[in-house]
Amino acid sequence: MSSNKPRGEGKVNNNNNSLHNKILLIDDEPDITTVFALGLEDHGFKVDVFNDPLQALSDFKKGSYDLVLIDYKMPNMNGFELHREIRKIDEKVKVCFITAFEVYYDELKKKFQNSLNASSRQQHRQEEDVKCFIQKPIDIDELIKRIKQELNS
Amino acid sequence: MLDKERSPRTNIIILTVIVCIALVLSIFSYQYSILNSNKIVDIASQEVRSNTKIEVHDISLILANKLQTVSALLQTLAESPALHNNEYKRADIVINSRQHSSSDLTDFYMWLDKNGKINWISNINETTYQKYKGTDLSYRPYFTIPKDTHTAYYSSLIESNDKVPRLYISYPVINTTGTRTGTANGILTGVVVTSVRLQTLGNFLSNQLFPQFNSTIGLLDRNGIILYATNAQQYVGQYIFGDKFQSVLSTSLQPPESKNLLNNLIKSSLQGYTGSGDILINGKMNTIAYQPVLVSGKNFLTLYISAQHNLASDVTALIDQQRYFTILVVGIIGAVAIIISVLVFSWNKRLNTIVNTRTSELKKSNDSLAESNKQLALANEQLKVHDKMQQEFINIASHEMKTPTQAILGYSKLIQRHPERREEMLEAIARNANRLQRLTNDILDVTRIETQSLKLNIERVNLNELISDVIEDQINQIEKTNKDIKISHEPQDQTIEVEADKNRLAQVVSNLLSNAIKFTKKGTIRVTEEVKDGKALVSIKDTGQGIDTEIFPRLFLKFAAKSETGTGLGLFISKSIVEAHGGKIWAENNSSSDGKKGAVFTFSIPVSKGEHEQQQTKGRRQGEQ
Repeated sequence: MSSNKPRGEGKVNNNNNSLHNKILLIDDEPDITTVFALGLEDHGFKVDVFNDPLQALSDFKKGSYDLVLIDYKMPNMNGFELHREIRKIDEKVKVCFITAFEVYYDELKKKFQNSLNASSRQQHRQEEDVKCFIQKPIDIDELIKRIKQELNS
Repeated sequence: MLDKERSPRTNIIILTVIVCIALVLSIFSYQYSILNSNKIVDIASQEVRSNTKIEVHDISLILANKLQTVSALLQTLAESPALHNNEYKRADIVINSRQHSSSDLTDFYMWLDKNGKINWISNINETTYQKYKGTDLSYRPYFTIPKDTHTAYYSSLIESNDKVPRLYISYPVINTTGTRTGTANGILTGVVVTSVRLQTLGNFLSNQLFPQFNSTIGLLDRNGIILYATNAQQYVGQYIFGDKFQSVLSTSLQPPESKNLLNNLIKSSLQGYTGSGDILINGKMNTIAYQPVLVSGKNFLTLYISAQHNLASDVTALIDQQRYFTILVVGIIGAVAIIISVLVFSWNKRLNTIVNTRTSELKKSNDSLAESNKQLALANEQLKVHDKMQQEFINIASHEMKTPTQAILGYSKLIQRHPERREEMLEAIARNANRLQRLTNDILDVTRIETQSLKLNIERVNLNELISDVIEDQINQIEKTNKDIKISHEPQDQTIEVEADKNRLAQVVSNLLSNAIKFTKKGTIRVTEEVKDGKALVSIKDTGQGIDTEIFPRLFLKFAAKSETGTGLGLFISKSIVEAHGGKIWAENNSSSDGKKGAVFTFSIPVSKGEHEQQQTKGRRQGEQ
């Protein structure tokens, strides 16, 4: 299920090359991961891709990534649940949610809280640090811009 | 609640009031009646008393007059010259004439000489005269007292020589010739005597009684000797205070104190008083009135008249009538009280029943109101749920549309930068465009279903052919995926015909078959169709992973299942199409004996009429055999 395709090192723009350039991308749609991974790699990011959140979690290691890009709607485990599990392993890694749902941040948070089923305050606080929500469909260049912003914040 | 508690108490109060009123009325009525009858008795008694007094007064006066007359006759006889001159022949006539004058009372007149020997007796013949002539009566008080006192004498009861009880009145015959001064100085030449036989006196008195009064008469002499008593002649001659008569009184008078009352009354009467008294004798009140009989100013006799307070029969009837009336009134009051009580109770009961009925009706209407409110709330809830589902549908549908859109947008951008992957990307763009197209069609179908505008072009469809065509199409699809899957078409009945929309039915079979292919990696998918109970049953059985238990309950709902290439609407649309044809669709996990998993999707659809009848005939023939 996983497809790890680091490529095109030579085409990376060096001015964007930094320490924070390793990205984990998780989406159950292979077309989406293909498109996003290609676009990110074109801009010098190193991207690991998973179409199965459970697989992604089992392979996840602390300090391996600078940013995790998670789709919200996935089978077996939704994006928020995955995020919580990842946070347990890596407290510092930055997280962006990417979703095709027509919802705003507050509603999303509410939805998330409901899905948590009585979340503790600590978990709640952990969620509050996520401020990066990206709506599909998004232009690849716009996506790169948002991710760079998040990495530099 | 309060009413229920109050009503028995109110009833008791009402009943008590009615009973009290009835009681008071009864007591008043009874008291009034008693008072009235007592008054009547009093009036009647008063009447008896006054009548008795009047009677004793009248009779004693009559008797006194009579005796006075007798006394006067005797006096004139004593002054008769014939007697003074001892003219016997003439004296005969004079004496007889006196007897003649008072024969209704006197028994005889007698002339005694100065020595107390009989000179003459009235109305006697020569023989009798010869017999009595010269009889010495000088020991009798009626001789000795006039002789000694030269005054008239009124005797007490005397039993004469002939054993007949008599009263005597005697006068001295005094010769006053030769003496100038009063009779006291005259010389007694004889005594004239007259006798009153007691029987005669009694008869005389009885005749004087007022016939309308039930009264009795009694006569005592001044010494208390019984001279006469109505219906009690055996006591004549007895002393009223003598032991013999007193013992008779003791036994015959009840209560005992009556005897004392009677004795006191008699003592008072013997002292010369006039009066009356009420004495209870043997349970009946009697008024006894008494008056002395005075002759020449001397107390000679005492007359008693006793009258029982026997009320006149019409008075008794009146009192009885009054009593009956009282009893009747009391009875009526009681009956009215009972009727009123019964009415009050039944009225109360009816009111209670009405109140209860109204209460239960109110409660029922309240309940139905609450029920309809509940239904409204439920409908509202359902509307809300529907709204939420609609929103959810739009949300999910947009999500499903944005995903291929994102892919198309991404590839079209990347295709310029990665010309080496042009083919691959173009294919991906086409695939996602197709996906969008399918999704659009499915959403349109769902919209038609939900707005109930799904139209079916019903025609006679050969189900076997339709399934064969779909299978052929799917085999082509399998070839593209390089999966090792075979499809086995195993119709149980040949030429099954149904009334259906051919395209829609093909859509259902195609959807089920493509799902089976999608979730099967390797194996044989079996498609069977048969007719059972007038329905065509189509089953598609795969050897895949089976239906996820989590998804199973929501299997036929919108966006329930999702796959890379599906829209999550296929089963929902299939179900709607089958149901629009009057059929049913269901799924089960295969639990075959070979241990292989897999899902079985089955739908039923009514066979066309001809087919149905054919099947039925077939069944009947089998039944006959």
